[in-house]
Amino acid sequence: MINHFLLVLLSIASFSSAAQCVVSGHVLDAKTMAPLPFATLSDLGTNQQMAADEKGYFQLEGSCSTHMLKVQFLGYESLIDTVVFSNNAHFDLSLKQSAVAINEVTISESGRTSILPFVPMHKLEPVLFSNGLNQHAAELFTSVEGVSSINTGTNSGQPAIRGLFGSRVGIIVDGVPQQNQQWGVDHGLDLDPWLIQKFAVHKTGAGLLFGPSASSGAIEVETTPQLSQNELKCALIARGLSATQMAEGALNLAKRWKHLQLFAVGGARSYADYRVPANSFSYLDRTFDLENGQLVNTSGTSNGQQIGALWEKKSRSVQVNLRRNHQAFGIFPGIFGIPSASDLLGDGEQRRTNLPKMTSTHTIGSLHLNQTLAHSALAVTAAYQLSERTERGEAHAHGDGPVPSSELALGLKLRTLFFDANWTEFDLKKNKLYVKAQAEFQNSTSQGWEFLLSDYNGANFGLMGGIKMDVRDGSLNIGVRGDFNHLEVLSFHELTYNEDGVVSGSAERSPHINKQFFMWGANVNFAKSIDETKELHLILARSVRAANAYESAANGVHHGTFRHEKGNLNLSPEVGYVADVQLSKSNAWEVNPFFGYYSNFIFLAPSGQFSTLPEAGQLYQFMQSEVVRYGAEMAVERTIRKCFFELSGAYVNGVVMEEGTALPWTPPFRASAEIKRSWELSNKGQTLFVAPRLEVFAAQNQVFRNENPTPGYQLVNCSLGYTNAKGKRSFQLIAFITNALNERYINHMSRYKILNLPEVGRNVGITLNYTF
Amino acid sequence: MKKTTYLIIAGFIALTSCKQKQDEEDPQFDQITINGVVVGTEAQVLAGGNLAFVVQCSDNESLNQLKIDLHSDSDGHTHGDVGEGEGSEGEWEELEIVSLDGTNQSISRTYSIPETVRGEWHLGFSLIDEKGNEATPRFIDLEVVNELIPTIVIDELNGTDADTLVLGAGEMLNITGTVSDATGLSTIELHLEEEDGTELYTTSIDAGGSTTYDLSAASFEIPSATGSTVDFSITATDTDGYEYTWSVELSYQ
Repeated sequence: MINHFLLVLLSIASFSSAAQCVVSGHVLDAKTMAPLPFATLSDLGTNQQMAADEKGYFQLEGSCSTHMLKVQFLGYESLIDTVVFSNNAHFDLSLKQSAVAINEVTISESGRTSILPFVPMHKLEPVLFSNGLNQHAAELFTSVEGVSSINTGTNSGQPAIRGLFGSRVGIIVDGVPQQNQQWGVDHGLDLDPWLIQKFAVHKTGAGLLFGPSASSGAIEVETTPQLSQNELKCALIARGLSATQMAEGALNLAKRWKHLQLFAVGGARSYADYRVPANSFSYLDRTFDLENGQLVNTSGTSNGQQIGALWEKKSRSVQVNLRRNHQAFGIFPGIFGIPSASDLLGDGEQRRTNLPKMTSTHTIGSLHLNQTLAHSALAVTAAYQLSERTERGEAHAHGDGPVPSSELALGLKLRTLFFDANWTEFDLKKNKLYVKAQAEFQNSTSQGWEFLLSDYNGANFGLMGGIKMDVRDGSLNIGVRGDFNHLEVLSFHELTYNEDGVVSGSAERSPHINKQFFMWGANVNFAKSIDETKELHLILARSVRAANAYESAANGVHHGTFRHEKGNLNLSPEVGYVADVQLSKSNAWEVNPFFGYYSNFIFLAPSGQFSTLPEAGQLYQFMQSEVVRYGAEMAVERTIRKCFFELSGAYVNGVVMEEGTALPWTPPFRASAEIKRSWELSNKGQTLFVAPRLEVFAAQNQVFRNENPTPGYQLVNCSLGYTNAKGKRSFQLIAFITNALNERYINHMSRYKILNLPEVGRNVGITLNYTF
Repeated sequence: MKKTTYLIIAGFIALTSCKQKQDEEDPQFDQITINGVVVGTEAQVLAGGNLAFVVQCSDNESLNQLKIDLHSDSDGHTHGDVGEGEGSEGEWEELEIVSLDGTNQSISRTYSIPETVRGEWHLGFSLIDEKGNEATPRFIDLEVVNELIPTIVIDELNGTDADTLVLGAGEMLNITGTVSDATGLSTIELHLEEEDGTELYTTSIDAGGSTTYDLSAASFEIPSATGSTVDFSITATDTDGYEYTWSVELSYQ
């Protein structure tokens, strides 16, 4: 009923008209900053064209939303830039001199080759983590309909696109697929939110560009700040949240000289144990009391740092990035084996982390080279990543084996080497060619007295080619990709002991696996402007991916999901066919239905066996089945008398054909309504805004076997902000409250739903942001 | 265009209205008997005797596994209707996975109940079919009555609870409590040890076959210790040779 009521609201609002914004700026020479008189500007969304005046000045009117502008001037490289239209906004567009004939060069703001022609995306605009109601990086992405966050606690989460996540959704940071936390399908992102400058969501066909690990979508993140020549940008941020008594601070520094740009970001946070509105929880059919709803030993710290250097001259650029993210936190004793009542009382210290506890560290170094040639552009990226995870607990032994001498239950290390080369030919009259080659090598090792996954080596080589063709009133993009995938998992034997504690032999825990696959995927993307404001995208994609090491060979208790998970060495590459339709009217509405068929979808399902491991329940094993997935996202926005209204909704369903039931972990229908009202105060540069928001989640009764349905719920959130900007300096204060009515609810996408644990209650936060 | 939009919205409503076939094929427990009696959530057995049970279960397609899990209730957990009891004394655990097939099965098991246990245990049964559908687990509060071993009841140590007591060298340890046994007590031994097992104090009291012994007569002076905690235990042995040990960790300054 809630679904239908909200849909009616959405449909009524969808016929409202859009608000118009007027923006202005200058077209300048990138080197001399001299104005370029009578440069041509084209709005690619509306096909509107105009010329700058004799001083390079221009004024454009259009819907208050994101626009793609193309700027051309004789003797200069053309520029395609994404800009956000907001009233009275002013921006300068700089063009580089071209030594060759004038060609259409596609460059994004960061200088990387635009990926727009091949994979449609949602949003690529500056974001500020502090502006939102987000608690961690994954929640930042949920501003795009169809993206949800799978939370593991209050400070960590993993984004899901249309209910899919993990090894299907790529997190692409500065062009490099982030490879970390691959030892569990639900582990959170190792990405400090303060690094994120921009992000884009690719819902369909992302595997074409980013490889099999993005077969069902990708979230592309850019961390390089955009600065003009000789600009220095500094930002100090402080933030606090009540629910976890979390305090964090971040410092961003960036300086641009003529050819060189340096930037550094550092952030750190500390949080205490958190409480939930519940008096008990369940673990493996046992119910335990929770004193005052406190989840003891869930406190922790995290920090992230990045330094980068970008050197640009003429048609060449080189960039080096070094990034590290570290988390250390306690593990709620209720999920690390069967607890006792005394374990759940804690030591009375809400910020002290005791056993069991864990750390997760992700370190990456990347090198990016870009070269614009006479008739083409070449971009090369190389990166090395090290992901480390430790889980520590009281040393103990099951059976007759000796008690280990170390607290290290599990120590996992994943090393990834990545290469990517893109070549874009843009001088084929109406057509463009695009060629990409990728290689990725992985090595993972494991130690500790628990076992989850054996050591493994993996490699993937991908080659992709695409062509963009201008066809009548639109463009047609066709791309094909082939991947060769190799995975070798080493066998693992564990010792067995007799009653006297003496080694009596060994038993195979994990067999040797050596698999190679050749896979291919393809995209067809047709884009067409229906009229000046409406645009249609039709995407047909064949996605493919091979099972990863965890899906193939895991065999142990995964504390994140509280159960014994086992891989399946017989899994074949998963193949899916997805049709996606994106229909939008600028600044008014967007509808995005999709349908997908998978002949052998890989997912984790309860098996017909109990685990033989101690303190583990039913055995869960990866399996494959014919699956159909479908759904849609809708968004409607309108501005009435300085009030901005936005209504949006997302629905997804997946059906396991053989069983006639839903896929596990399918998000419920979600709708939200937000009103934002801003005021310009009498003192110049001061603004105030208030933005109440209602989020409605329907009950999810479409569940897989043994998965519990969850009831529907509503959340009331609100943010209030004040900004004082004078010249380069600005001060921003944002206060916000989430779950204002202290609703007790179970998030269907949270792993804690298995424990029957609700999410946190009312949460009040405050953010201070000083930029100078 | 409006027609298109209406169609899309109508399609969206249709999508969100779809309902899946719900999984209604979980296996089920038909009946459980313990020592010949059909039980619900409670049963009583005798230490030293047998726990003989029969589980009858069924599934519409094919049963696959039954898990039998007997464990103490001492860690403070519950299982829905099977609540937290008075705790248990002694070690006793059973864990067994039984393979099943067919649509109806009757599984019989007989476990020997140790002579040294007493109190409340949870006897749990979990059942899954071939596809992995799981029955709602059944748990039974199993009270073990023990008429064999002696009973030790400690009310207070030095007039306070053992959790808050801090011992010091030269102080007296006054014990308020009793030891009892229906057949008669033979000996009562008191031990005070360092954490590493170093003996600090030990005594053996001849109870002379009496059925009750007042522990206030066993008070003793605390010797000096090196650690911050000490282990205190009382072991009672009856005239039939059955013994029972009560123990506690105490703080020491």
